[in-house]
Amino acid sequence: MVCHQLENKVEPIVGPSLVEISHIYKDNLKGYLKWCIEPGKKRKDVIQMPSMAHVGEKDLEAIYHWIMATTKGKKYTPPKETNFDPYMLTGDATKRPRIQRIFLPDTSPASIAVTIDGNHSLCWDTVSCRLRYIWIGGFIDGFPYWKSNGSSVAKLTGKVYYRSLPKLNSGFVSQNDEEPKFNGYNIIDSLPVFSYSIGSIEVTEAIQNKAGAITLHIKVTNAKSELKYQLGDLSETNLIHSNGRLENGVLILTAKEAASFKLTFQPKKIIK
Amino acid sequence: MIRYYLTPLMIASSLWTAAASGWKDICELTVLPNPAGVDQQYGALGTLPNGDLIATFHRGEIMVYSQVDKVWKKWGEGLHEPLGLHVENQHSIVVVQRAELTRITDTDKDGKADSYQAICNSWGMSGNYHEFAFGAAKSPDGHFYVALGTASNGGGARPEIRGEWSDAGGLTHEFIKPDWISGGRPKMPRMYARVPYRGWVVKVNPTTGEMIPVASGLRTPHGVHVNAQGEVFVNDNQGDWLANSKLYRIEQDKFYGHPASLQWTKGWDKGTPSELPAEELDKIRSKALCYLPQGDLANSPTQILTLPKEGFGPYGGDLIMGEMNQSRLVRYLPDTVNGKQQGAALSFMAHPDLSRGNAKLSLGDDGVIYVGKTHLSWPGDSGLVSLKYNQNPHLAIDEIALTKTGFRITLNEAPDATEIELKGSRYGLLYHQKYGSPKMKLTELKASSILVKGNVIEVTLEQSPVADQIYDITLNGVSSSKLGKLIAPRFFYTAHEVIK
Repeated sequence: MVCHQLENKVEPIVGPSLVEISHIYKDNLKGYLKWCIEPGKKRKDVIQMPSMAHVGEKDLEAIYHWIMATTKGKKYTPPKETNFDPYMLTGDATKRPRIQRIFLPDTSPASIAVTIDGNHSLCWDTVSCRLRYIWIGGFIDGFPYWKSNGSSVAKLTGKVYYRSLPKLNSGFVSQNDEEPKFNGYNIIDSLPVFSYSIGSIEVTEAIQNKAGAITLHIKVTNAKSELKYQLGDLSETNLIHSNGRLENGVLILTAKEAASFKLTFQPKKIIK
Repeated sequence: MIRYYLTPLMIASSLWTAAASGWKDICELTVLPNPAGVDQQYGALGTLPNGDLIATFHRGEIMVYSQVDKVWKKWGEGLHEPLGLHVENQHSIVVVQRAELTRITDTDKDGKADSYQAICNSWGMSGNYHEFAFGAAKSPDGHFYVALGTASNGGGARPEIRGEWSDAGGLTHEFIKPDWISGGRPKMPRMYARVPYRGWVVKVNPTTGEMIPVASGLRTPHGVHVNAQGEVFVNDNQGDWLANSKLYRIEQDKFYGHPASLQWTKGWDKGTPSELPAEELDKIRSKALCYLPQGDLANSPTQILTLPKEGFGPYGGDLIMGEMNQSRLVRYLPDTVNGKQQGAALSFMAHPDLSRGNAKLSLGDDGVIYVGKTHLSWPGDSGLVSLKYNQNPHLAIDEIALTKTGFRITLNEAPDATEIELKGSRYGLLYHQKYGSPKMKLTELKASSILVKGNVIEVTLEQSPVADQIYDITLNGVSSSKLGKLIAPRFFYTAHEVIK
């Protein structure tokens, strides 16, 4: 295998062809030397060249002049860009419940995407241990991340209809002076049951599919007093809460009510 | 080039025909099947107690390969860039992924993992793509070792992060202007560690999950290994502040040279570490066991493991590691000079069909090393191969020791019919903020004598060894009528110390 072919006509292609190097760095020896020594990531979808610092600038300069001489008279033609995910799921595989940790937009870098059926999906943040948003119309397109090394976030497929409030330590604002601690999840019926603690209280949040609606079945143990669960913008959401009373976007629960309650989310409009 | 005829030249080519002439004769390479529909970039690899392979992949799948049925089955999924694993038993593994050290268990033993329990998630995440987490190496005392990669200014940080952002040197979170889309932060250091404990090796208590910072000074520490004696080995990747890739033996509270992580040292008050003079940093850094010369041996070393005593001939018990850019594994041979360990690195199992991307290693039975490949858009490859050491006798280097006048190279058998040529050079490397280093004061080596006594080759150099130099030496013409020519005759010895 060679790293730099004359014109990149043989697969696999690793680096820019000599003709392209000539195209990029013609009359720019300084830029060429900088690239050789500290190549960095030049193209999202192509592997980067390892540093050639060990070769030394004198020899790199000699190579530069050789490249310019070898490629003289050859015209550079840019390759056609492709953006196809060769491992994209299709058919029934897209409709099963899935859990995927990946970089997601508008949440912490340690978040989890969950879909109950490939159409109705949510983002759960393991830092603040809470639901961050819900969308409908698909799951995620992870290819922007997966085609490279994580330098891009996944895209949401569909439309977000519910968002929780930003900058909260946890969903339970009554405990907001304490950092939640994420303990992991178990899988029941192919969907996660998240587990975390906030101070002395222990919480599980089971993600469930109720006839296409997303339900969070939340169980709190060791609560000693009333708990307040902060909800987000409900303007596009039909929310059903099994226990407690909703006041100004906050669900207020007695310790007994918090022991087991459900939040069921659906978009107000059918979103295609 | 100097030739020394030490014994009468004996041509015994008829005896050599059965001997190994290269790695192709010593190890058998088999390309193994990959799971269908899965991006075949292996993140981590392990061997289950029943001999089946368990692997994680770039997109977070966990798959098990049945050695009996020769098929892959999905065991788990949904992980975020899992880059290391430790097999606990047939039904439980511990994986290190970007955000977490996670115990994953098939509690009902139905062939599918159903429990993903966070053991530790105490390290910071800025969301920068380069903040990988490596390791899950288990020490004899039960702790798990994890090494945390630094962030790159080739990408940004996220508006929401995990952990405290360090403002050291005035580089606030606001300064970086959180914007995931655009990369390139020329004002940030080339690699940075603005959330804890990036650039550190940490250990995790398996029961409490407590994260204990161990040592700083790492950049992209891909290989993390703890041997049976509890010694911790980590390698690091060439780049800023790293003239070449290196192999370290990690000790508590030491600093290993890449300064970004220093800002998480308790009481740090010296601003942006990478802006400190190299001379000042040089005084506090602990040196590597050896360099892994860029271009010549290894550009991007990966998982480290200790070979078992049995099953690998003269290599039993040696420390080896993978390599991303070149078609080889790398072997380390220790030496002790003035009471300090340093040593040599040389090519290992460089089968001509191995190719690149040799990121993850797992030992099988009977001298087999499984090699999982990846690239993550850097130079590398994808897929899975096995390398089986086939016990074919051959001539190999057992030990390399620096002497007052040169090197003592011990082979596994006495060479004969010897016509030895020494080809080599020595050079220094710069410790500086810049990326890599040219070979400084490259000097050709000349031997004044090469003597063979039994299975020892005693090389005396015209100029006695010089400290802080890399010795790049090839011994040509070393052979044995019984075992053929010397395999891997080129070695790279890092002489931090010379014999006083």
